[in-house]
Amino acid sequence: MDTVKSRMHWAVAALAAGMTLAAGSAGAHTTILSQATESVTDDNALKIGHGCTTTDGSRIPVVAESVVFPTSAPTIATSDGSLVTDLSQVIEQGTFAGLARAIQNRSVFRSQQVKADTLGNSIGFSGTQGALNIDTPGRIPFQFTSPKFVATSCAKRVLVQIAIADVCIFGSGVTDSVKAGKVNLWIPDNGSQYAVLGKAQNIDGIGAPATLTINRNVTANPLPASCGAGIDVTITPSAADITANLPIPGVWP
Amino acid sequence: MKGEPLTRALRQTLLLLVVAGAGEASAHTQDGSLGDAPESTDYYQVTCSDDGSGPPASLVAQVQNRGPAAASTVSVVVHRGIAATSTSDSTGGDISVSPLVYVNGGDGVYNVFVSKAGGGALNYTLTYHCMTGANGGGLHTGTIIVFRQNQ
Repeated sequence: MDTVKSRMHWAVAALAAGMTLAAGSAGAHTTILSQATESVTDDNALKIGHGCTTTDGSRIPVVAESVVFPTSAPTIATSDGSLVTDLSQVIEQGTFAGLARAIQNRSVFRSQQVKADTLGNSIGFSGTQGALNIDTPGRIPFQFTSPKFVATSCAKRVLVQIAIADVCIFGSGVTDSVKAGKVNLWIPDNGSQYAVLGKAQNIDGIGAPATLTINRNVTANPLPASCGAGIDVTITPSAADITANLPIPGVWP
Repeated sequence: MKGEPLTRALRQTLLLLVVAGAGEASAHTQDGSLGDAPESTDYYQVTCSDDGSGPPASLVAQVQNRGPAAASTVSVVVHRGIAATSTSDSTGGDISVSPLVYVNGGDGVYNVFVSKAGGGALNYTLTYHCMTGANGGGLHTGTIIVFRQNQ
């Protein structure tokens, strides 16, 4: 009986350990440090939870990161299924271009670059020449100016999905770069070349982009009475936006 | 003699403060140019938000015509909601600037248009600041600019 009890004890312990590891892995995505409030400019940060793991189990540090905010024909979805055809129906700015800016910091990456649209507005940023200790999480600071919600909109929260590539090993070309152990891709699963290639390679993060939550200031800008409790509006970068802007020119992929 | 290093440190600190102050001020000026066509217009959106200094109440703006000397009058129009204002600098290439104007529009997006009175390319500097008080008063608060049209 003692042997049976002992085996059961070890089985339960192993199951618990497995669940703990699974929970730890699930919680180690690259995410956003803080939620934001409408019409407030504040410092925030990306939280890098871990580096890459190769097929043989080796852990590799993140050496570069690319970050893209949804600015070029983003997808707009609502929690109640109502149709929003243009971002200007939700936020006065009508775009997220220019609202996020990298803060100079060399904690993880020694070199920083700004991504800009054709008019020079910031649409994302990248860091290179880095090395994130495999045993410690990283923080990549940025400044975000939260947009003003359109007064007549029913949006109570805007959820901004951000496409992020955490690069651990540089490859030659896209196909060689998007492989397990070389990169983690915290991006939507919406048909970009990185999502397609990454999904086939079982890359960590496909379909799990970092999400910045912007809360409406219902005191200063109350919901219209007809809106009830309000809705969530989710903004996702388009596949074309990710394909065009996720690369770090001259560096990756 | 013992006081000398302290004096040097103080000088360096003051220099740093001056440099930091200059950087902050230049962060809210936008150098731009308008093309040859008389109807050339640059369109910006300035977002006023609370950066910790307080909720915005107004946006102040000013423009400088940086020439050439024969350039036509350059103007800036600021608009938010049902309020709008404008200011102009008629002389190109000198140090004069247009009068400072403001729109009391609270937080959110202000549309800012820079245009000119006639043909010929010119350069300009747009100055813009979100303020916590009405009529451009109070403290400087969160201010960012986004380019929407460059002509």
